[in-house]
Parts: sequence; structure tokens; C-alpha cells
Amino acid sequence: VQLTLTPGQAAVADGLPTELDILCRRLCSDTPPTLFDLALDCEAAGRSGTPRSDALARAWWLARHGDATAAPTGEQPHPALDADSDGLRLAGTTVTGRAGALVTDRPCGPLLLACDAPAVLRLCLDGPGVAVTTRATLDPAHQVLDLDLADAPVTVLATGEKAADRIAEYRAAHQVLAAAEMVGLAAHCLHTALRYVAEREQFGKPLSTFQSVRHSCAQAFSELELARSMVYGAAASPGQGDAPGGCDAWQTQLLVGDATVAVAETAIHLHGGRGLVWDSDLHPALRRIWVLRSANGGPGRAAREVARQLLEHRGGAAI
Amino acid sequence: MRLADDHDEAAFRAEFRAWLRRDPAAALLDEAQRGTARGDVGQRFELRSRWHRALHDGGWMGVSWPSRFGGRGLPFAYQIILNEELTAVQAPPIAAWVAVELVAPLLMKWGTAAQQNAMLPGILTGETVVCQGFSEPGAGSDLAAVSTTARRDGEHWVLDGTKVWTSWAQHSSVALVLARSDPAQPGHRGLSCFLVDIDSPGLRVEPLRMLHGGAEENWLHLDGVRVAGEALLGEPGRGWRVVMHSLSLARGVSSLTRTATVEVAIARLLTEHSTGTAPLDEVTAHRLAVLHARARALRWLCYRVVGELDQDGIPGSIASTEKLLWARLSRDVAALTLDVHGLPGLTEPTDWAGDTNTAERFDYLRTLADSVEGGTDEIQREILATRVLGLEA
Repeated sequence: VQLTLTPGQAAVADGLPTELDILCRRLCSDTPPTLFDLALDCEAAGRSGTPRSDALARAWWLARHGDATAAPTGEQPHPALDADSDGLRLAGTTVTGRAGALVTDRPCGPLLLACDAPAVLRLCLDGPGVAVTTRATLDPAHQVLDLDLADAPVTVLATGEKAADRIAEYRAAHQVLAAAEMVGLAAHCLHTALRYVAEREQFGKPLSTFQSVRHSCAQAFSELELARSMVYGAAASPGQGDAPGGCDAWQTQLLVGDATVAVAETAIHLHGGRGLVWDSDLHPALRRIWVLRSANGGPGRAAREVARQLLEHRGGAAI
Repeated sequence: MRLADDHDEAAFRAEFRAWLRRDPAAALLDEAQRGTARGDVGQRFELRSRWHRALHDGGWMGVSWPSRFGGRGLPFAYQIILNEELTAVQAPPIAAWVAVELVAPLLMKWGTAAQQNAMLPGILTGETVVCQGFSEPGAGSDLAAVSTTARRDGEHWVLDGTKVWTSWAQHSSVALVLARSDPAQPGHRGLSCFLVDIDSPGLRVEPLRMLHGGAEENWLHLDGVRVAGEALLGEPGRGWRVVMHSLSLARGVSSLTRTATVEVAIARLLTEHSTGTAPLDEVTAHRLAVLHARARALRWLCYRVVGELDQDGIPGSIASTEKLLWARLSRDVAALTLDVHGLPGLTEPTDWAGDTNTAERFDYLRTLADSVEGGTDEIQREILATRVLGLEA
């Protein structure tokens, strides 16, 4: 057990994110970074406003399963296993239905999709029966890739337990890394607010001297640290393989989604009218938090999954 | 950060787990599970004393104490393993946790060799139970306003005053009393700490019935209590440092003990309502999911707190968030439990209705103290704002 950050991890936790290319190369090396390392990087990216968790979850998953699922030739596939798979029906080697995947860039290679068969499918976006549109979200960096599939031919890459494991692994990593980015975004908001309340004066003294303001800040800080602890814990306690356990990942999405929205809202509120203008750099963070927390089915699905798993897999143990 | 056991840790965990499955541990845990007498202070204390003794006899007390004080000198990670395994079997807390977690480290740091030899062995076995006589009717959050006096009389000190909220004093053998030893000094200067035998002439313990019906708390009346000079813990006039050390301990390893209480409460609820027994409605299940996630995160926050403590012995910047987060969670879980049991959970036992379980309502009412005792929510927020966030007051 290692309860603290190593000096290298502490440097990332306090600093800027690593270049994505460098991280991707490291992921393919003999000593790849752990999911915990990637979470710290996503948090740093969140603080600096760089979208990162989506790309890193994909890179992490591809580095682990590239052999089994990568196309023999052509562009590297784009895992979009977080897409809502409930709407996809697999019949033989064709798939029909609608799905939406959260992306930061429109994929140029084939897409990897999940369906409830369960199966991992490889789909060429320019193939027959595939209609693709992208929709902007309230965060300019994220789009939803809408797929409308009518008997679209697919390659089935994995089925059964193997497919279910791969899909669950991707989702868990995606949830934890997205949560880490949300923590970084909320941390940026809170730190901005702390600077503001120390400088801004009303009634002849800084806002930070008013107890109601001080206590708002303290409460927001506590929520932020709780959310960060959730990310750290989930990323540092491996379930199967190196991925966090499914229930931990769902709990992370649930808790961090709520906590970071609350922190960002408090930070905007503490800025008074100045937090409400377009030029503020707080609402872009809040927008991104909303998009990230709504991925993977959003908090409603997360709560249902947590409750189901807690009540079904009950051994009487408290932790 | 890495939360998987290494080889030695895994072996330690396996050994402790095996011990928990054997008697006397298994029998005591079974008795604690069946016990519905959470409202009866005496019965609760007695069971928790036997549990303390069993843990000691098994060699599981003081694992992170230095070996010169009878401990095993292991890192805090081992304390976490014990806490995880105890929580998993829903073990009760030990009776003398205040002595073990909050007072023993004070003795190790500030005590004389004579005080250490006299008290630490008994604290480990559970025979020496210590209560903290800090608060007074006129000194709650403003603890430095204590008016209990300590007057020098030759080689002795004479204590006069009234302490309140002294938990478990009726079962204690020693009280750690904060008193003003130099009336000329204001505020936190001129305060001293004394180790006072609970059966000293002039000392009277008066149980104080609380809103839940039980009386864990007590008045401590000190009426001309004479103690020897050796009763002084630390230097005269420097008692504030001892008290601050005690309060910082409450923000350290004790946070694990607190988190465990919430996890055990959630586990009871889950055991009663796991699928196939009495299903929960969707709204209640959602509340449960949220609270479970918060408890999970709080445990990991405690690990970060303990990790920071392990580095330099000083609680770090996030330590003060734990009590605040825990107090709310603890009450929310207790309230959810009451809601789940509905009106039947609020009815009194009768001959015709049978023996309704009164534990849930006791637990809920007890949690109202969580945001008050050991530093109110407001004090915690103020500490965070000033010391951690650096906001100018």
C-alpha cells in the first residue's frame, strides 16, 4: 500500500498535463503509466482547460487490447464503447439502430462499438447503411457523434464474456478519467474564486472576511477533496486487471458529477455578477463538467447501477 | 498512490482475518450483531471492553505504537488493514478508544517516563479508561475560555470547576483535565493539563441524559480535588499545546474509526434489503447509492489523511475536511435508515407488537451530536478557511 503520491506523481498533481503524444507513446512502452498516473494527468488537463479524458481512455484501452481488436491495415480504430448500446441490434454481421458517442474529434478511422449481444464491433463510417452526423454540445470541445445504422456491415471482434469484460473495462477507465478531468475543472473554478474573494472588496473589506463567504469556500473545498479522493481511490484500487472495479467506477461518476457541479456553481456564485458574464472563464469549465458527467448514461444510470450492484452482490461486508 | 497489499501486508491481513473467524472474536462479533441494546450505555460499554481485551490478547492492539511502548511499530498502512477488516465484519468500536487514539499519543509525547509506565500498558489492555475533561458550560467552541482553576499548594495542585460533555466518564479510571493554572494569564496561555484519578476525593461524575435517552456524556464536578505534582501532563502553563495535539489526533487515525461507523450502518441496511429480501423503492435505492459513494470516497480521503500524517506526524491540509464531511454523511445515513424502517421503526416495543428494534432511532438521534462534538461544523469551516485556504479573517 502506498498512501501518498510519489514525487513524480506530485509534480503532475501540481503542474501542467503531459503532451498527449508523449503519454500515448508511454502507454505502448514496457513500463506504461498506471491508470492512477493517467488520472493525475487528466486532472491537470482539467485545470488548464485541455480536454483529455476521452482521448486518454481510448489510448489506454487500445494499448491494452490493440492486438485483439486493431484493424490489420489502415487507420487506428477509434473506440467509442461508451456509446449508448441499448439502441443497437446485431443480426449476423450487420447492425441496425441508433447510437450516440461523445467525441472530441470526428474519428477518421473505423469505429469500435459496443452492443448488448454483448459484442465489440468494428464499423467503417463510410460503409453502406451508415449515416453519421455530429451535434455540437454546450461545451465547444465535445461533440456527439450520432450514428443511424441500417443493416450496416460490421466485423465482430469479440463476443460473450470477453466482449463484456472489454466493454466494462473501457467504461470504467472512461468514467474514472472523465471524473479526474471534472475534478481539475472544478479545482480551477474554486481557485479562481478564492483569489477573487481575497481581492474583491464590499462594505470596505475583502469578501473573504465575511463568514458566510468563508464557509461557502470551505464547504466547496471539502466537496472537491471528497471528489478527488474518490478518483484517487478508484484509480488506485484495481478491480480486474488494471481497470477499477465496475461499482467503484459508477460510484465515481455519480459522486464526482454531483460534487464538481456544486463546486463550479459555488465558484460562479462567489463572483457575483462578474461570474455571469460571457468573458468569465468559469462557465466553460461548468459546461465541460456537465458534458462529462452526462456521458455513460449520466448520473441517473450511475445511481441505478450502483444501487443494483450493491443490493445484488451483497456478502454482508461493509467495505 | 497504490491501494493493493504488498506481500507482508497481505500476510498480516490473512492472519487477522483468520483470527476474526475464531473464538473469542467470532463469539463476541456474533453477540454484537444480535445486540439491540444500543441505548443502554452500561451494556454497550461492557461488550466493547471485552472486545478491546480480546483484540489485545490476540496481539492486535497498538500495532502502530512504537515497540518501546509495547506496540509493534508497524506503519499506519497496517492500522488501515485492521480497520478495513474490522469494518467488513461490522465490529463494534473498542470501549477505551479515547484512551488509545487520543490520550496515549499525548502520553508518549508529553508524559514523563513514570506517567508512561503507569498508564500505557493499561491503556493497551483496556483496563485504563481515560476521559477528556476539556469543555465547560462557559467554554465550548471557545475552549481557551475554561474557568476551572488549578491552584498550587506546596507539591500539590488543587482543582476547582465544572466540566461537561465528558464522554464515558462514568466508566473511566482517569480524567485528563484542562485547567487554568495561572489566573494572571489570559486565553490559551496559563492553561495546564492534569491526569486526575476518577475516584479522587472531591471529584464527582454526574451522568447527563442526552436527547437519545442514553447517558454517554457526564458532568465532571471538581470540588477542591488535590492532585500530586506528578499529575501534570506537560509543562505548567503549556497545556494548550497538549490539547491542540489531542484535537489534531482526532483529525488523524481516528478518522478511520469514524468512517467505519458509517460504513457499518450502510452495510446493515444493505444486508436487510439485498435483492430477494425486502426490496427498496427506487427513490430510496438512489439515496442509498449516493450515500454509499460518499462513504467510499470518505474512506479514501481518510487514507490520504493518514498518508500525510505518516510522512511528518502532522495532519495535512485535507484533514479538516473529514470531520465536516463525515458529520453530514453520518446523519444522512441514519436518517435514511429511519426512513426505510418507516413508522414501525418509530414505535415502542409492546407486548402485542413484539420487540421493535429501537437501535435505529437511537442512532439517528445520536448523530445530531456529530456536527457539534469534537469541533462544530462552523469551527471546522473556519479552520479550513483560515489555515487551509488562507482567507484573511
